[in-house]
Amino acid sequence: MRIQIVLIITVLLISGQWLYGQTSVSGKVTSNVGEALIGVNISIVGTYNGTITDENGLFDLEVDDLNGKELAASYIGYKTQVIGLDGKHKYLLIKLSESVASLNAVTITAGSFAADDKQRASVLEPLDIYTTAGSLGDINGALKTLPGTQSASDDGRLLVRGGAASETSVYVDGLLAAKPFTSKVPDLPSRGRFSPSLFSGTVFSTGGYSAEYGQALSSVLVLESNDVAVEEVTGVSLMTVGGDLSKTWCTKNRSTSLSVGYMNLAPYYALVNNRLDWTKPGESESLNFMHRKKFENGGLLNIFSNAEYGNRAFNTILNDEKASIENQNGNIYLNVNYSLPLGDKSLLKSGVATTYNNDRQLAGIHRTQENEVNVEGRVTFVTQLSDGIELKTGISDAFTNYEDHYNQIQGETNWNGRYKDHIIGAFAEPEIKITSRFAVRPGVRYEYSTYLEKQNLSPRLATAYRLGKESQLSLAYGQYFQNPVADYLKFGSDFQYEKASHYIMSFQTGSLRERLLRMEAYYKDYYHLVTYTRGSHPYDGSYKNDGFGYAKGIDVFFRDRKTFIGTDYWISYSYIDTKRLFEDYPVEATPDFVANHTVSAVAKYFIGAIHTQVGAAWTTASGRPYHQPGDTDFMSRKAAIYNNLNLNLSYLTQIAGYSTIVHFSISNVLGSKQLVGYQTIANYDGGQDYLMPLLPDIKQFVFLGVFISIK
Amino acid sequence: MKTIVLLAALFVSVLTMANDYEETMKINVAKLEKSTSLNEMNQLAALFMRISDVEKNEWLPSYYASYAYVRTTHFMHDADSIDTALDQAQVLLDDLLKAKPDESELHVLQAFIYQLRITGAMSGYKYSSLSNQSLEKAEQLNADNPRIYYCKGNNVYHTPAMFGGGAEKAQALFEKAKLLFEAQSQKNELLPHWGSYHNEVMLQKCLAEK
Repeated sequence: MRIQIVLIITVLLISGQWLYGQTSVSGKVTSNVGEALIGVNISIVGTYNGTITDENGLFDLEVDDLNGKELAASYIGYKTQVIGLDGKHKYLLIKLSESVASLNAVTITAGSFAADDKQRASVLEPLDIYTTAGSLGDINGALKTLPGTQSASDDGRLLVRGGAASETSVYVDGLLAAKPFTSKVPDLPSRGRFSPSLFSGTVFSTGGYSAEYGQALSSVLVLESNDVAVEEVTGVSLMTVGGDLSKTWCTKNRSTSLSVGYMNLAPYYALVNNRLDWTKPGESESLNFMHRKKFENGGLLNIFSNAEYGNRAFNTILNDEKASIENQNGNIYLNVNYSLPLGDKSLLKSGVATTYNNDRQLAGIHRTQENEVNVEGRVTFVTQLSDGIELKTGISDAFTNYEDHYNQIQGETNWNGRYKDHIIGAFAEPEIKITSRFAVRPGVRYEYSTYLEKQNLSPRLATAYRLGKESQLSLAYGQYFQNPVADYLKFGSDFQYEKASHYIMSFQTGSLRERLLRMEAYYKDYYHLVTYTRGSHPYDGSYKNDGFGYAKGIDVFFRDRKTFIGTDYWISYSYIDTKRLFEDYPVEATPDFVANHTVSAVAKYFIGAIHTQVGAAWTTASGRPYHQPGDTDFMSRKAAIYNNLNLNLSYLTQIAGYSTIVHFSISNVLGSKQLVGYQTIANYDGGQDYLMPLLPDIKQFVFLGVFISIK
Repeated sequence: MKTIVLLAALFVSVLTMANDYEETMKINVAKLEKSTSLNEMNQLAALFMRISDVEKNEWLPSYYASYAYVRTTHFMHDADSIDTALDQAQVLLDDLLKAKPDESELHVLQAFIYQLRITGAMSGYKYSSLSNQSLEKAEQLNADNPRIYYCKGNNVYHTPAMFGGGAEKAQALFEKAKLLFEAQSQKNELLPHWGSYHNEVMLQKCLAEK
C-alpha cells in the first residue's frame, strides 16, 4: 500500500504537471437515448472548477492536471456520474441516465385523483374543490363531478364505482373520520361536515388504494388539513342560510384558528316552495378549532376538531301515509396528530382521532337513538431506504362502541342493540422506483376484528410505467375487506368480512397546466355481502354473508386550460355495468343507486374586467333502475334521464377596505324535474312494498353569500 | 516517519488547491447583478452549485444557485422554459427550506418564485396568495428584511386597486423597502442584498403615476 502511494506521488512529481501544468479535457454529454443534454454541470470533484455543456452537449474544461482527479457530470433529474481522469483520455463521452428522484419520474396514479399543490400527479387544485358550481361548500360536490362517482343527489355521500355509500371511508391527516357526513334521514341528502377551506390537499381514490388504509370496499378520501397559518385574519361570512365567524392567530411556527357557525334554513324556506312540509327547518350550530405548532426538532403538532349540533323536523309521505320525521344530531370530532422527522430520511407519525356521534330520530312511530364512539389510534413510520425505495409501515387500532335503542311511540315494541369492536390493523408497503420510468408499490395489510373474531390479509399492488414525457400507464390490484355496517352488526357478531377485489388499468397523458386526459378501465368482484330475507323483520336473524356481485366500467377525465383563454373546464364520463346480490335482493341486479352512464362538465371563466368568476357544472345521468312492487322481474324498470345544470358567480371586491368575495349560485337553472329514481320501501306489516320517488326538497336552490376577510 | 512526510505533503497540496470561498463568492455574487445573457446566468448557477458541492456546510452557494435559476427567467420568453427554470430553482430551494426552515431569505425567494409563476388571471389568484403567504412567513422570521417589502410591493402594484392594490399602496411598501435597503447596505456582502435596484425602479414608476 505504502509503496503504491509513493509510486503515485513519484509519478505525479515526474509528470511535472502536478502544480503548474494546464491541460484540458473535453467531451460530450448525452442522455441514455443519445440526445445532447444542455447545461450539464461539469466539475472537477472537490474544486469549484467547472463549466456547463453548450447547446450541442459539448464541453471543454481547463484543468491544472488530470491525473488522479475525478470529473463529475451532474444535471437536475439525472444521476450524477463521476469519472476518474487518467491524463490519457482527454475526450470523454458521457451518458447520463435519469434519476428516480427526477421531476419527471413516474408517480403511481391508478385510481386516484389528487388536488394538491405539492403533488405533481394532481389533476385538480385545492381551489377547485370550492369553486365548482353546485358544490355549495361541500367537498363531495366537486368530487361528484369526477368520473367513477354517481351523481346521486338524493344521497349526498360518495357512491363510487358501483359501491354503496358505506363503502367509502374518509381520513383527515391520515386518521379516520368516522362520521364525515351529516346524518342521513329518509328523503333528504346528507352533507359533508368539514368545510373545504380547512384543507390544502385532497386525494380521492376511486379504487386500488394503498395498504395504509382498510375498511373501505370501494374508495377512500384522504384530506390533509392546512399547514401552520402565517397571517392573522378574521373572517366574516354572511349567507342566506346563516353566518360564520372565524379568527386565526399566529406567532412564529404556531397558529390557532377558531370558527363558529350558525345555520338556519327557516327564513329561506319561508320564501320558496318545498316539497316537504317542514315543521322545524334545519338549524345547526358548529364550532371548529385548529391548532398547529412546529417544534425546534422539526416535529409538527396538529390538532383538528369540529363540533356540531343540528336539528330538523318535517312531514313527508311514507307508505301512503303522512309521517313526521324528526332528527337531532350531535357530533364531536377531535383529531390530534404529531409527526417527527428522524434524521434526513425518516418520519414517524402518530395520532388519535375520536368521533362521538349522537343521533335521535323519529320517523312515524319509530323512534331510534344511536350513540357511537369511534377512536382510531395510529403510528406510521416512513423511511427512505435508498434513492428509489421508500417504505411505509404502520399499526392502528380502530375502536367502535355502538349503542342503539329503538322503540315505537305507541306500543310495547322496543329493542336495544349494542356492540364493541377493536379492529387492529398493520401494514407494510414499499414504493420502489426501479427506474425513472417504472415504479412498483406492493403492499400488504392485516386486520383483526375482536367483535367478529376474524382476521384478514389483503395484498395490494400498484405499478406505473412512464411512456413519454407526460404520459403513463398504471395498473393496480388489491383486495379490500370491510366489517358489515353497524345496522347489521348490532344484531350479532356472526358475520364475516365483506370483500372486494379491484383490477384497474389507467392511462394518463398531458399536464394540468395545459390539457390532461385520463382513461381508466376497472373490474371489481364483490364477495360475502350481507343479505337478508325480503320482508322479514330486521332482527329476526335472517342475515347471511352470501351476497356477491361485480362492477366493471370505464372512466374518462379530460381537463383543458389551454384551448380557450381564461377558461378552465373539465369533462368526465363514466360507464358502469354492475350487478349485485345484497341486502334483500331476491336475485343479482343493478342496485337502485347506479346509473350506467354519467357525464359531468365543469367550466370556469374569469372575467377580469368585472373581477368575476363565472362557473357552470352540468351533470346528466341515464335513468336508475327500480323495482315496481308487484312486478315479476326484479329491478326491471328504469327512471328517466337525470339532468342538472348549476351556475355560480364569484365577485371579488372590497368592503370598507377588506377583501370580500360575493358568491351567488343557483342549482337546476333549467328547472328540470330532478327525479333521480325511486326507492322501494319494504312493508313489514304484510302489505305491498311502497315505491318512493327520489326528488329534491327544493327544485331550484338559490344561494347568496358574502365572505369578508379582515387582515 | 515516511507516512508523516507523505501526509504532510498531501496536506500542503490540499491547501494550495483549496478554494478561497469568500473571495470566489464575493466576485460571483457581484456578477449576478451584472449578467446580461442567459448563458452567463446559467454559468453562474452552475458555479454556485459546484461551490455548494464542496462547501457542504454553507447555505449561500445553493441559495445563489437557486436565485440564479430564477434570474435566468428574465432572459426567457416561452412559458415552458420559464417553468423548467423555476422548477430547477424550486428543487434547490426545497432542500434549503428543509435544512433551514427559519431563514427569512428563503421564504422571500420562495415568494419570488411564486410571483414568476403567474401567467394569467387563473394562476394569478393561486400564486399571488401563495406568494403572500411566503412573505408573511418571512416577515414573521425577520421583519427587517427589505426584500419582503420589495416583493410585497410588486404583488400590490400588480393587483388592481379594487382589490386593495395599485401604485399608491405599493409606493409605501417600496419606500419601506428603500429605507431598509439603505440601513443594511453595510453588512456582510455575501448575504443576499438583491432587489434594491429594481425597488428603486418600481418606486420611481409609482411616483411617476401620481
